Amino acid sequence: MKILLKNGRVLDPSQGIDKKVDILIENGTINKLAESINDDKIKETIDCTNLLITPGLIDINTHLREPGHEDHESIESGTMAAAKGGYTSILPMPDTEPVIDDITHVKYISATAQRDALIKVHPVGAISKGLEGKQLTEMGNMIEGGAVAFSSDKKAIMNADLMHRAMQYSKMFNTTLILYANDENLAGHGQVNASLLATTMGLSGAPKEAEEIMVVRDVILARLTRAKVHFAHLSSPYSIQYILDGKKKFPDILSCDITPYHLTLSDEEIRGYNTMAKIMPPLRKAEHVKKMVQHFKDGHIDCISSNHEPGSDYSKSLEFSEASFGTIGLETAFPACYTYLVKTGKIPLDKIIRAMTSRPAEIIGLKAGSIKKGEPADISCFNLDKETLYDTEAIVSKSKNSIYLNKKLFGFAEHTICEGIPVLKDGIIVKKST
Amino acid sequence: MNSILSKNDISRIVDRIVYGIVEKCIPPKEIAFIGLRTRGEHIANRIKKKVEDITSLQIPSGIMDITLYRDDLNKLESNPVVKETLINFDIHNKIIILVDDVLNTGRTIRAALDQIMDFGRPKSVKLVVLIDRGGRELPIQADFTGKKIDPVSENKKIEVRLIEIDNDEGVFLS
Amino acid sequence: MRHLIDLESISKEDIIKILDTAKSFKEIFTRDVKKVPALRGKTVVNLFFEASTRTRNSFELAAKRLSADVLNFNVSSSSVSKGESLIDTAKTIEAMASDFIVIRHPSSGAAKMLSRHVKSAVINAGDGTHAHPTQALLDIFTMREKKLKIKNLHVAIVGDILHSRVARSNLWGLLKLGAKVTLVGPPTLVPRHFSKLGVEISYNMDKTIQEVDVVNMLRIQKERQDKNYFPSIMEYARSFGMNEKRMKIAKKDLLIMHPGPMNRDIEISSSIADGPNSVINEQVTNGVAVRMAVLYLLSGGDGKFEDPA
Repeated sequence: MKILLKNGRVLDPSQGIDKKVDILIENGTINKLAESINDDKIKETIDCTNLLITPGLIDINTHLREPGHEDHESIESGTMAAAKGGYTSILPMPDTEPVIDDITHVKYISATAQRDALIKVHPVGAISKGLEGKQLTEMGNMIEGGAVAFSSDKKAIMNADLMHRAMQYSKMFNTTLILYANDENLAGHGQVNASLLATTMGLSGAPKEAEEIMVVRDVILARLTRAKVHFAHLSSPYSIQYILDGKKKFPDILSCDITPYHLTLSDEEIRGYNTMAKIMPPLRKAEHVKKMVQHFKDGHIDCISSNHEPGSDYSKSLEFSEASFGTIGLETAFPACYTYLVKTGKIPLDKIIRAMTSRPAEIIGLKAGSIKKGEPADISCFNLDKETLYDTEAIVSKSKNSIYLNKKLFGFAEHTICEGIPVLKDGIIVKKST
Repeated sequence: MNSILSKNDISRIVDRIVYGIVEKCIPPKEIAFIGLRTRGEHIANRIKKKVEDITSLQIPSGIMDITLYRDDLNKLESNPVVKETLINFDIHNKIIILVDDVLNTGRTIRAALDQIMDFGRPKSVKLVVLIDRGGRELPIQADFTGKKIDPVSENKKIEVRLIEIDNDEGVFLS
Repeated sequence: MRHLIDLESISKEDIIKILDTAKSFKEIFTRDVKKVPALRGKTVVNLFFEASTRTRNSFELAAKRLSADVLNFNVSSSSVSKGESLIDTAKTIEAMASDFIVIRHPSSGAAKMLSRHVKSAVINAGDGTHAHPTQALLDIFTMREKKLKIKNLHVAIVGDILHSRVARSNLWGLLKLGAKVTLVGPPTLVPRHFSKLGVEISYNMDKTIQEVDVVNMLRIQKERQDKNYFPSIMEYARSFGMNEKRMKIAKKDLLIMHPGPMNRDIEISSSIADGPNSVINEQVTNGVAVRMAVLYLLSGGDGKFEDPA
């Protein structure tokens, strides 16, 4: 089967390409890239005039809620949302019910993805049993079952000794540990950023220092063990400073990511007790957001992750202190970055794309993230000129808890092609034929 | 704007009412005045002073704001500011002389009567008004009326100005 | 729809309007019949998710003195955890044709949230650690009554500022009316962020007590000791309690207030609480007048107290 993408602007930061190129896809791989390809035998031609063509996006931190909370999201619905966002590979975190902490659970994810997923799902195993921070999991077994990395997810490992051993042990497989940096004691029951605003609103604050302390500890341990450590969804510019410091001596083992909302929104969003803005780590002060943008621009932050966290309408309709944390993010990751960062001239487009394609692929070791002859045809096409109202009608995810709800955004995906198969066409999900 | 009463007219009327009160309200030592905010209060003061002069008695008096007893509170766009009601004497068994500037529908007086009863049980209540403009909606009549004018249309305004709070004095139809 | 959620979002003029109206209402307490018909036919629902007999009684009396019907709805926090949300409960109550909902809730922002979902006027009777506007209004009313004006009055609020909605509401009201505010307590209980609002922060009660005109002593909760906000109640009492020794160095006409209930001989000595400078009981009386004023003013439709966002 052949598919021809015509007249699009191809942007592939991994190869330094940014020009008008036609792409021919054959049998799931990229067959040819040329200024102009014309072939009468091709049945399917996708007109990409005025569209931006990039390698399929890769999400290093997402939550699909299956198994356990299929009412909020499933592997099927989550990958549909991902396809809608231009993603072709995602790494679901292990904080499901049950936790993905042994080979059978990893295999369950892989098998379900095989059956239901529209795009590639690379399971991530838990670092500790039940994410309890007490006992290491069988990483070797899980890798055999298909796990590509290991994570402490939303429950930081407070025990430094265990963290030390986890790093030592992971080194044996040269796998990456995706860490959530948060000192639980210092963060306490913090719900929002610790600030004057939180104090006047009567909300308990989680200070950014709770993140920084753990970043420092784990940078120290990574230096000691030389394990590959990736810090997930950071929120404090000082965290980035400490990582940068560690990177100077060990550039290959340390990396980190940030979410689109930590780059575009400040803690002002919580005004009026807006539960959609209840997120962990919390949205920080505007001046810190600005510093994070500068760090990103300077190349100090490796990736942009969606940190997609589906939750029910009910859980967001509760009193602020009772409401659930998190926002969905797969569908809006690129549009939010494009609208608030690229269009405003804060960050160049190629840096955003690199942080969402080849950079996460390098960190995890995925064969993805560039548009090259012979590579799997994972490709996304975005419409940068069209403004779209992102309302509940527009949301593909099962959950509607988006911090960008009812915002007008540019740059939604028009087409997403995963291994040569269009999973999003003209902005509409192409369901898997069963 | 037509003048209904001049300053001198008001002065004469107050004198006439004072004599009426002294004549009819027996015994005078049971008399107490209550003026309705805002202008009734000042008319009551003038009458009170003159009655005190004639009788050589100290006559208690108070000020009443009837806002909280209005029958149209639910229907108003915004709730009017409530000023203090000051009645620092025991109402029980007193002859209350209630004073207001203009008598129209009678609803203000109804509210005032209800409020007086919440302070105690007076022996009787007499009503003094400077102007009776007609248009009654309740069965209420004044005992002492300064001037009764022919009923005027609802959208006309009777304006009472008193030197205590306004720049000049007189009653006008506008 | 008009609500009273906090003092941060209402204007200085509205605060003064409430205080002036409360002054007029206070006279009603001296009548034979301590009741006016202003809110006849209206229904006030006291929706309390936290036990508070004092505040509920005060609102109940205020509503009754305005001739409103009162329904007390006490929701134990357990029924919330059973799955009925605040909004569900509120809708149930509105189905009974309420005109006012007075809400007390352990979560900050609960009153604000309620106000977005109901047609009734919402009065915040304390939400989490956020706001308790009527308590602050009655405190300020009492200060104004005794000291005649608030502008340039120096007020110390002493104790657990971090967890106190009373302190937060007092702070906003006092600042808007031009008072000078000093927050006193151990650094663990006095958020340093507040200094950005133009208030002073003091850890030295002996120094502050000499400078202030009014001292508002907050109740200290023994539970805070367990979480290491201070090492012991005794050390707290010695450092920040209002006692005879401090009374001697204070201004002669120092006004001593407490929102109640008091921990006698901890944050305030018994002799001080019952002494001539204490206005603690008057605060209770004034609370009813202030709450009457709020109910009365919210029953009109002039769109005041409309808070932004």
